[in-house]
Amino acid sequence: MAAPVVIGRNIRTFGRIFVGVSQSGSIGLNACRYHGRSTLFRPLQLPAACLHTGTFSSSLPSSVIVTEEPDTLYQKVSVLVKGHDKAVLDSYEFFAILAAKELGVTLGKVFEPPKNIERLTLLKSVHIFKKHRVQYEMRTHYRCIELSRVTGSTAQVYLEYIQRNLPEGVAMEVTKTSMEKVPEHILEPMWNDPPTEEKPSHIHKLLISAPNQDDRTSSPETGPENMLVDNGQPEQGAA
Amino acid sequence: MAVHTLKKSILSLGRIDCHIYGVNVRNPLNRATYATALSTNNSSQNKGFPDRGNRGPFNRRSRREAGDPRTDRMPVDQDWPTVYPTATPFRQGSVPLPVRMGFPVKKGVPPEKKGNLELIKIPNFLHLTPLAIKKHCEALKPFCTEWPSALDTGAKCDEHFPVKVESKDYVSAGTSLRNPSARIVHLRLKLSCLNLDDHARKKMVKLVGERYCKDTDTLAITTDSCPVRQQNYDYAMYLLTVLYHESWKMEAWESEKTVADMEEYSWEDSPSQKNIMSTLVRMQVAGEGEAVREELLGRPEVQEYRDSVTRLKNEGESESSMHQYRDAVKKLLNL
Repeated sequence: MAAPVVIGRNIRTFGRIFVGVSQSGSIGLNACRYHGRSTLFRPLQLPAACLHTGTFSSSLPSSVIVTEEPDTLYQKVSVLVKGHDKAVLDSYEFFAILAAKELGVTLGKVFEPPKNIERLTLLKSVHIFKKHRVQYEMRTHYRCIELSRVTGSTAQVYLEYIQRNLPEGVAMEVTKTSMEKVPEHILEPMWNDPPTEEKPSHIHKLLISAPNQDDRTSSPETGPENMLVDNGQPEQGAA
Repeated sequence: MAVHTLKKSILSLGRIDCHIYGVNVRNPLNRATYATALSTNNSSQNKGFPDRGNRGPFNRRSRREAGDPRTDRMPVDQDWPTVYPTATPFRQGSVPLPVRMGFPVKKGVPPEKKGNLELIKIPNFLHLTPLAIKKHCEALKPFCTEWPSALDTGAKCDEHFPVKVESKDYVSAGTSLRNPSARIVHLRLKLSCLNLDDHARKKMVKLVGERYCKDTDTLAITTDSCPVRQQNYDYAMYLLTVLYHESWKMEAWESEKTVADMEEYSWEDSPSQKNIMSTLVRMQVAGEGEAVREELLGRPEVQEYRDSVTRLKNEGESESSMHQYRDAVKKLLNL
């Protein structure tokens, strides 16, 4: 276990989890906004001696920050864990399911995709002896836990908790499907707008958010001019 | 620690001399032991090694004795999260369970937990007992938000939030934190939720090509050309916006759309209509003229025939569509 590799998440104490998580606490949709409620965020510096005393959140100040930006809504969050040892994945699944139940996250399916065995056959000896080989195999077991209908902050809290307690030798892949409204600039076609200065602002908005691609920036620019002048120039589709 | 244990046990195998009442306690049945058992000899005895002055591999002078394991002093109702608050390797002196792990020798049992490397190697979940998980979740609860109760069914979610954006995150151990597949963004939405008229819809379908699935009416845009996920998301939104506005535009050359370009079959001005008209006119022998043709078109049998032919061409051949065509033709030709 003492391999000199960079692990994909920091192993920290639970005291600091609150520090990390509270930075992302955000609440509410457009309909319910909390104005002006923001507790000051104090970074918690636990001395090393506190690690084993087991004092939990009841003694620590709760630093929940409520922001006004609307929470993302996830239709489905799918957590796929991969490992070489099935028993470890079994225990991890128990932990993840219990954590989801305690945090109030609705669970979808929890299933086990079939394992994948990669085999290779190598020569046993360094030199000659072609008839004597040795075979190795690498078994990868999977476990998939699907959460349905989670808010952004809950998903962040749950995933951070799960990922901090990911055991050694286990990898995780998280697929998040978020739901969004149809953007405002797609509700009405812009050609119906009166040909005033509104159009350039729309185009500028498009150009600013898009990466620089020469052939793509040219078409929306020349588009409204074409409509106004009523040229018969053929124009390529933007896709 | 495992190495030290091994060295001590090699010594102890050579000298099995802890007899109590004449009985060999270590090996009552003189069976082979694993080289993992700790020596029960008191470490204060000098086993005859020269004193190297507090240096050297077997430093006995300054080492204090290992006391009783913690398990002896553990009450039954203790607070277990204090013993294992975080992920730590297995400590046999701290776990009061008689765990055995490893491959047993012949007619033996798996080795005990004392000095067992197998138990140390495997990741343990001793810091995640159900009680500990509940405590953690209670602490994390204030940071969670509730799902809005108005969006309880999938249909309502799709109605208010039709655009679905999918992306993946990866957590693994390796030489690098990054995974280049994490930048890919999939954008999915149904065309029925967009404000498109007939021409715009057909043009949009032609523009996107492969990305549209007719059965589910889903447009799926996948972007991975930018290095950062936020950039890919912005690009996907940009593509959607441009597609939408471009499909509403009517180009001059679009008026040159031929029958071969049409997505659906329309009966008006088709060879089928011409044939039927000429046939009926010849059958009727009522005279030629525009009025006759219009009157023929207005008849219900001709309408039925038109419906059946359109259905055949658009939906393909099937039992019911062929029957419908047959009935329409029979009625039309008075068979």
